[in-house]
Amino acid sequence: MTRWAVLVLLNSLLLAPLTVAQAEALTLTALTERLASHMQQRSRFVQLKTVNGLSRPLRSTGEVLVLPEHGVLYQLQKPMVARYGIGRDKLVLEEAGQQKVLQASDAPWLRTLGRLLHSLLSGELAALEQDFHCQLSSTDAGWQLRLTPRREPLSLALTDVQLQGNDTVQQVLIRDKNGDQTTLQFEALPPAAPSAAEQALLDQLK
Amino acid sequence: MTVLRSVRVWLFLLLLALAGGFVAHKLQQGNIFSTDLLALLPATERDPLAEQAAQQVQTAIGSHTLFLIGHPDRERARAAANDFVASLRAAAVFDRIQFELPAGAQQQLIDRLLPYRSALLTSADAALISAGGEPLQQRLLQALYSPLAVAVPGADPFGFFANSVQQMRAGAGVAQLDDGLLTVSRDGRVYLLIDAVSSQSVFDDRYQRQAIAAITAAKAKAVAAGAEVLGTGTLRFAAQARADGERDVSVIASISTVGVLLLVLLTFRRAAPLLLMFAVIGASLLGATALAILIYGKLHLLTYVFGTTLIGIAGDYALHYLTLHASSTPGITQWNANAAMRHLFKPLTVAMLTTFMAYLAIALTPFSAFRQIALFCMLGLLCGYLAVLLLLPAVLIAPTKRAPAALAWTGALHDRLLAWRQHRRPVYLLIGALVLMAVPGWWLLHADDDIHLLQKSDPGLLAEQQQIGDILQQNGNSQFFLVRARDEAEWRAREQALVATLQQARQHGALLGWRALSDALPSVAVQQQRIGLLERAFDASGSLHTALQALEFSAEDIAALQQQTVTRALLPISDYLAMPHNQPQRLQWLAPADGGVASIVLLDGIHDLDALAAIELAGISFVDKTASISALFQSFREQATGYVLLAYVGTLLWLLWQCGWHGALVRLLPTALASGLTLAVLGYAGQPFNLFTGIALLLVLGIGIDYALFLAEGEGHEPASLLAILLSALTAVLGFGLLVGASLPAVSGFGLTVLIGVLLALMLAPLTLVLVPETRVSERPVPEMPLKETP
Repeated sequence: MTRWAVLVLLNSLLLAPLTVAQAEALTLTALTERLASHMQQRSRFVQLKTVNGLSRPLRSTGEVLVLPEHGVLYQLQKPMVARYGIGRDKLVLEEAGQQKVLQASDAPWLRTLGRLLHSLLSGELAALEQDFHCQLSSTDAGWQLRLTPRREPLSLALTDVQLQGNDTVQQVLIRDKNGDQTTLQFEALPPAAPSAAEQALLDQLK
Repeated sequence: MTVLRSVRVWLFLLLLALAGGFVAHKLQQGNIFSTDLLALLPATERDPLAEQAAQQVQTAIGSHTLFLIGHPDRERARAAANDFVASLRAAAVFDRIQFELPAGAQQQLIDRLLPYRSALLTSADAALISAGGEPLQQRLLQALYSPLAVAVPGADPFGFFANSVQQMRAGAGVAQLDDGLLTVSRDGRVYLLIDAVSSQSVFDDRYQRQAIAAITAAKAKAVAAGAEVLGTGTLRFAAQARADGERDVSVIASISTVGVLLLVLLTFRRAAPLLLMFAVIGASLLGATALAILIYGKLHLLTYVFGTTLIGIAGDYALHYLTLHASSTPGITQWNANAAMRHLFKPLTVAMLTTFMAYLAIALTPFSAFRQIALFCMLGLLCGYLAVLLLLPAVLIAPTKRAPAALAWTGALHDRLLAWRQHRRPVYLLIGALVLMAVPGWWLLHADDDIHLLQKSDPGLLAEQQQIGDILQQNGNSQFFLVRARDEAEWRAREQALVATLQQARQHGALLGWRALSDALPSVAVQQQRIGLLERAFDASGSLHTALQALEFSAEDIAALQQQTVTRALLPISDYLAMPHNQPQRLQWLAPADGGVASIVLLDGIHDLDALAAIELAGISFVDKTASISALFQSFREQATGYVLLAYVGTLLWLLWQCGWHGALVRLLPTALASGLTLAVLGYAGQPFNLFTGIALLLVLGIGIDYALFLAEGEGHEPASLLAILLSALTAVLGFGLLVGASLPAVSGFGLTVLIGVLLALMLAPLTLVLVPETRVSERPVPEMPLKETP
C-alpha cells in the first residue's frame, strides 16, 4: 500500500497552485500557508510507470478531484476505468464496475493513509516531517521538494519522492527500492463541481 | 505419666512424627498436587493413532494462553499491551510470547514462498487463465494499473502470487496484522492479541502459581491503565480447578475434624478421648498421605478431596473402643484395656475389612483416578486401624470415672427397639411402604455421564473464553477429523473429499470452518499442472500472450513478463511444513507407526456435533475426546453398577456362611434398603446416576453393613454398640456429607449419595435388631466379656 499512500500525499499536495516568488525564503510553513489558501479542486494526470523488464513505461491517464471536507477522488480513465475514493478512515473502490468499501478496521493500512490525507488536506504539512525527511530547494524553473521516508514500512519499498513545480506542481517522481519509477505529470483543470456520479461515490466516504 | 512409659505409645508417636515430617518435607518441596484429570484417564480411543492425535491436539491447545488487550483508543491499547507483555516477559514464566511480529517477518514469508509462485497459483487464477478473453484482460489491467494492486516487484507483475499468499493466510482468522500487531476491532474497541506459550506442563503445581501470579500482576497494571484484559487457556482453568480443590480440601477437612472432635468432646466430656481421636485421625491422614506419596510421587487433588472422608471413617474404630471404655461403669465392671481390645478385635477387624473391601472394589475399577483414591483410603483405613490397636489400649489403662449421659439415652432407645420385636407386622408393612414409595423415584432416576462431572469450570473464566471466541470469531474445538491413507496421493484425495463434505456442512450451519493441510498446499501433481498451465498461457496462442498482445505489449515485453511469472520449483508438503512460519501446522501432520500418511483436520465453531460425527468417508474418522470420555464414563457406570450388585452378592454369601439365611437377610436388609431408597431420593431430587454414584453405593454398603453387624453382634452391651454406631454414623456423615459442598459435581454427587445412604442405613439399622432371630443369637453365645466380670 506504500504506493497508494504516496499517491494520496502527492495528489493532495499537487493540487495547490504554488507560486514561488521568493525561492530563497521558501519553507515548509510557507508552502503550507499557500496550500491552505489555494486549494485546487481538479486536475488531470498522466502517469508513467516503469516496470522491471518492460521496454516502455506503463502509461495511464485520469483525473484527481480533491474536496477537503470529503477526501480525494482518484479516477483512472485510460487504459482502464476505475475510481478510488479515499476518506479519513474509509476507501471506496470501483474496478471493472464492481464497488467495494474498505474500512480502516478491516484494512489497518488505511489508517496511515487517512492520517496523511487528513494532515495534508487540513494544511498541516509539518505532519509530513513525521514520516519523511523533507528537503525543499529552489531550482531554475521553480522549486523542488524531496521526501525520503523515515521508517518502515514506507522505507522498505520507497527510495524517495521528488516533486517539482513552478506556479503549480508539475511533476512528481516516485522511486521504488527495486528500481522501478513512476512519473506523474499534472495539469490543473478549471474548477468544476463534482458530477452526480462523483458525488455519489464521495457521499459514501462520509 | 504412666502412659508415656508405654513402648507402644512411643512407637506410635515416632511413626506419626516420621509420617508428619515426610509430608511436611514434601509439601515444602512442592509439586505433590496434580490437577490434570484427563491424565488420569486411560486411553479412550481404540485407534492408537487417534489417541496420539488427540493428545497432540490437547497438548498444543493446552500450552497456549491467549490474551486480548482492549481499549477504545488504539495507541492506549498498544501501550497497555506493551506493558502487559513486558511484565509477563520479566516474570519469565512463558516460553514464548507472540505479540509483535518481528520486523521483516512478512517479507521473509514472501521470500521463502516466492520461488514456488507458479506452483502455488490459486485455482481461481488458474481458471481465469484457462478461460482467457475479456475477464483475463481486465484482470491484467487492474494488476498493472490499479494503485491498489498488491504485487511483488519484478516477480509478480499480475498479482497471482499475492493471491496465493493471501489464500494461504486466510486461515489465520479475523485478526489483522496492523503495524506488526495482530489486531481485531470490535464494538468500538481495538483488541490486540497476545499468545503466550507455556514452557512447562500447565498442570504443574509450582508453575501454575508462578504463571498465575505473573498474569495477575500484569493484568492489574493494564486494568489500572484503563485497558480491558481478557484471557483464556487451559492454564487458567487448571489453576482455578486447583484453587477450588484446595479450598475444598482445607474447608472440608477443617470442618469435619472440628465436627468430629466436638462430637467426641460432647459425648465423653473428657480430654483423653478427644486427644486419642485426634491422634487416630492424624495417623490415618498423615499415614495415608505419606505412603501414597511414596507410591505415586504426586497425588491428584481429587484424591485429597475424597481422602478427607477418612476423618469420618478412621475415627469409627476409635469410637467403638472409646464407647466400650466409657460404658465400663466404675464399681460394676472391671476394666481391662487389653481384654477389651481382644473382645473388640473381631468386630473392629470385620468393620475395617468391609470398608477396606469396598475400597478394594473401587480400586479394581479401570478408572485410575479412583484407584489412587481407593488406595489412599485403604492406606488411611489401615493406618487408623493400626493406630487404634496400638494406641488406645496403651492409653486407656484406667477405667472411666463416670459413664457418659448419652449411654443412658441409647440404653433407653435400645429397650424401646427391643419392644418392637413383639410387633413385627408394622415393621414389615413399613418396609413394604418404603419400597413402594421408592419405585417412582427409581423410575425418575436418569444417567449422566458427561465429562463436565469432572470439570467444573469457573463461570467467569467460561464467559471470558466465550468473549474471546466471539471477538476472534474462532472457537477452537477439541474435536477433529483424522485422515489416514497409504500414500500422499490417497491422503490428499481423502482429505479433499472430507473438505467437500465439510463445505456442505458449513452451508447447513454445522460449523464455521476448518483447517486442512491439503487446503493450504496443492499437491505436487496439481503444482505441476499449474506450472504447465502458465507456460502454455505464454505460448503464442496462449491466453496470457493473447491478452497481453491485445493490451499492446511487445513480444519482448511479453517474454520479460513471462520470465518474471513462471517458475518451475515444486513444493512438497514436507518442505512446506519445514518452513518456520508453518510451525503451528506441523501438529496436523502425523507419522503413523505402521507407515502410511495421516493428518488432522481441525474444526472451528462447531454448532452441530452430531452432523459432523455422522460423516462417514473412507479413511476418515471423527475424534471426539469429550464424547469418548463420556462413553468411557458410561461403561464405567455400567461396570460400577455391576460391582455394586457383585458386592451385595459377595456380602450375602459371606453372611450366609456366617449366620444362615435369616441372619444374613436381616443383617443385609437395612443397607440394601438404604441403598435402594438413596437411589429413589436421587431420582426424586433430579440428581443423576453416574459412575460416582455407583462408587458411593459401594461405600454405603461397606459402611452400612458395619452398623447392622455391630448391632447384631453386640448382644450383651447394646447401649454401647448403639452409641458407637450413632457416633460413627455422625462422623461418617461429617466426612462424606461435607463433600456435598465440593466444587466438582462428581465429588458433590458422591458426597450426597453417601450422605443420604449412610443416614438411611443408620435409621434402618435398628431393623436388624428388631428382626434378628433371637434363637440364632442365643445359639451363638457371646464370648465371656471381661467388662462383665465382677470383682
